[in-house]
Amino acid sequence: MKKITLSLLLVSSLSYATNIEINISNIKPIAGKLSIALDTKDTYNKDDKSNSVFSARKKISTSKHKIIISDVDAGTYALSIFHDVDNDNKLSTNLLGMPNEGYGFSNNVVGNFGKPTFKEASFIVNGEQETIKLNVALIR
Amino acid sequence: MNRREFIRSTGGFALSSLVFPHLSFAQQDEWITAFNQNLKIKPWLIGWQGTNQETLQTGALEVKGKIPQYLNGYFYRNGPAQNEVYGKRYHHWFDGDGMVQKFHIANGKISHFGKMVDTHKYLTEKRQQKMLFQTFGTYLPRRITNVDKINVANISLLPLNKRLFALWEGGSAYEINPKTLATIGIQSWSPQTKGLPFGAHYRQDQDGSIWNIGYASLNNAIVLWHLDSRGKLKQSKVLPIKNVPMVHDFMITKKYLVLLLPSFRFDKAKFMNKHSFLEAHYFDKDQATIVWLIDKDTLNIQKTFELPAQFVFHFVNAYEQDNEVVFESMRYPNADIFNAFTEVMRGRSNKFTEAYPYRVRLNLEKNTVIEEKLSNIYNEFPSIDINETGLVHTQVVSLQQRGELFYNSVAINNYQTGKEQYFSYTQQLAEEHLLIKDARGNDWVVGTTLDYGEKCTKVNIFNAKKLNDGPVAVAKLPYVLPLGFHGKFING
Ligand SMILES: [Fe+2]
Repeated sequence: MKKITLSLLLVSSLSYATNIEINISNIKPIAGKLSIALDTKDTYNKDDKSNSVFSARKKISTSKHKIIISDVDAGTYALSIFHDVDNDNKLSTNLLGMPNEGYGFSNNVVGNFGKPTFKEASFIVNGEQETIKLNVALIR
Repeated sequence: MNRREFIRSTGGFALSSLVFPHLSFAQQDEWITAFNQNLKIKPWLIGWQGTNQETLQTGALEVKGKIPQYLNGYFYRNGPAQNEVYGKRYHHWFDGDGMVQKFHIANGKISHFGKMVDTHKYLTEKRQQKMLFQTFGTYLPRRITNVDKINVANISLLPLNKRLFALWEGGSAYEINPKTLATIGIQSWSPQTKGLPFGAHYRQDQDGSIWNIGYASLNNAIVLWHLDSRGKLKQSKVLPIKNVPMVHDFMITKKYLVLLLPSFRFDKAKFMNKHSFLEAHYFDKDQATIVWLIDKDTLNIQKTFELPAQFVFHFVNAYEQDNEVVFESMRYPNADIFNAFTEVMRGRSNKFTEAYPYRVRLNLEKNTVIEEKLSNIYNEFPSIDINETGLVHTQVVSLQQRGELFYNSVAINNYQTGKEQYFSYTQQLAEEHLLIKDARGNDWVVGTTLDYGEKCTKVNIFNAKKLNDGPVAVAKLPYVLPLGFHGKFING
């Protein structure tokens, strides 16, 4: 057991902590905030993003925004974004839970009548790149 | 291998792709080929051919007979119109993009204007010149973010407070301009109900308010709607249900909404695994058909009844009488009718059978049910005087199959006198006929037919008292309108 832990430490100390640069487009209306979360498989399907690897809110001033998440460790992640038009801190939905506000996922993947799976939305940070660029066009 | 064998085994391919280069890639859509072959020998299929026109318009139509003096207004109809798009043919009659028809009747004259509903689906496919989206009965693999992305707005219409809505049943109502038929957009009645299914068969109550339902198959729910007469949402409710049944229509009485949940139900796992919405439905002959009586004030289910397994598209009406809720339906013993609507799209079916009129009595004290078959003739597309909605109705107009092909007759049954009148068209297929009152309170029956002999659509007007005599006026269009579903008449 000791051996494995040591070798893992060795690998991580040799690799970069990666920056993720996200270009978000199709933001309409110019109001409210973007809510961004970077999740692992464990937190992806949780509505509460306080345990996510990264979460942030950004005030909207234009129809495109760039967001950079710095120093992300190697791993498999998925990015979820929604446009909190009414600033209530949650993705507004109708009575059946269908989104009333714009949203998007990494890989620009869309679900089929629902949320895409973690597998579909996920990407790998392997520590070999300094920056990973992602484009997400919000679905409305 | 000798040379001759070599040629036989490989040369054939090479040769055919040289001589018939088109064979090696884009083959003609099999459904188009089959439909066109059948159309040559079955001229009535022209009604399912579809149009590729965005609009159709004719000023004063040629009229035989005399349009009644006090019958003035707008007769709107809706139905699937683009049955073949970008080289592919849909596999079900319910699939094609909706076109709204407007017949303006004024001063003894009648004109026609028809226009496609500019839905998201229709416009996106037009922009890309390609069939992109799955429909009711045709599967395509493209992912769909929400049902309104595939809304075809092709079943019926809701005129309300000088506004007009084209109705589908899987998603939102599309508002259109009642004069120009230009599409205004998706109607949201409130943020909480935005995108919820708004059914095609609403019922207008005595106070002018609108009741409606919607079945949200993917969300395991049935939605109830109540709008006031001006189009403001009064109340809505989501009722949970597993394997959502296909509830196309419902009824109201003074106290209740009456929903019949047919034994034709949705298998979500099948739908998510590369099947069309229709293919994901199954008829379970061992599962009772459920009737819900829902209290209009609370929208709670107050009573449930069980009927033998059946399917119903359309109800005549419901009313309360003594200790009973009574309703009439055009009842199918199973859901095989959907296959006929599939087969007609490749020209293979000649009949729409098995819908018989039934009267059902639900006894609220004894909790018993009595079903009574009212006729041995196939009946569909019932219509009553809308002023009798939820009350004891006196007359029912319906289409009947009295010949070899589809619905060729229109009938009016008077339940006060027990008298039936009918009229059978010659070389014509009948579409829905409505029972309407003119400005003086006279009853008329108005409906369209496809004349496959003359290759045109006709508007027929009957005196409801003398339906046997045939139409008092027939207006002839210079073109065929694709066979559609439901209409509404607005006096004015
Ligand atoms: Fe219908």
